Amino acid sequence: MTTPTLDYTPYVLAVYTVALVVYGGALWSWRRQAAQLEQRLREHGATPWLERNPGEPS
Amino acid sequence: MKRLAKLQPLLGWATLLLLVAGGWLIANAPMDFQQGNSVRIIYLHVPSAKMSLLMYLAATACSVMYLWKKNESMDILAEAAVPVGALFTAVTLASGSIWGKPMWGTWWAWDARLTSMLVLLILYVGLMALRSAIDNPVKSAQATAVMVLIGAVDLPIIHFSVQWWRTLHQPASLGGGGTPRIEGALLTPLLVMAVAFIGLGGYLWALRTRTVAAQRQLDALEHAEEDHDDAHP
Repeated sequence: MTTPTLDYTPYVLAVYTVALVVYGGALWSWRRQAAQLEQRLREHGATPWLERNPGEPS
Repeated sequence: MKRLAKLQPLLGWATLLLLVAGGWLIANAPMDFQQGNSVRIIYLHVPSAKMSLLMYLAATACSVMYLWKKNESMDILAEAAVPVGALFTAVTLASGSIWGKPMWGTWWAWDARLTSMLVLLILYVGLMALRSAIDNPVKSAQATAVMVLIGAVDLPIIHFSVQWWRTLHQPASLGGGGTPRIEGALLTPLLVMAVAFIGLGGYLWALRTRTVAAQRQLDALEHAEEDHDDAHP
């Protein structure tokens, strides 16, 4: 049985940092964008597509 | 669709809970006897890779439905799936590359699995570019749907690349048929992260769907208002 002698922690940290920035950034930016667009729709007196009941006109 | 809007926060909280649990399991997982700590990269790389394929599969299914039924909702779902898939593919390539440096001694190799994943990223970016390059919304939707179907050829190539060719990339960790090749203590965090990433993919897809749908509604409203102003100056 080989005992682990190599420590690659910087690579692990780099990967999790990249993922946090990419996924977190997308989540934050897309949530903001969706909220802004839906707000603009409500200002026009329209109901966002995903909040509409089946058959309800836009 | 109202049901989807109600489900989205629930999906978000469930995903967050799974990610926290996955994070705890990853931090406490044993080191691999060969990879040492680098094995922890796999817990993020493999679920991202699975999701990059699943999102393309979702876009393909929606594109088929759109071309068949001409239902705009299907086109909205297909359009929304593309940037989410691109995100997962980019993280897959980045994490694989960072894992490759200590394990293979190189950031990149023109190996069948790596190259076919790069093709997938190029496809995703190309699909976004194609959609925005055509002004007519119907033609844009049809051209993109056809392109999605052509690009779907890359999915089996990615999946079977490690069996069809002698690759530097190791065989499938999960979903390769048969029993997983990973020891239980290392497998549990991977499975939890795989489920968490299905939730993350679903949540991001729902979020993009809201954005795409709202943008289209706004465009239609603004067009209608312009037409009304032109007719009644």
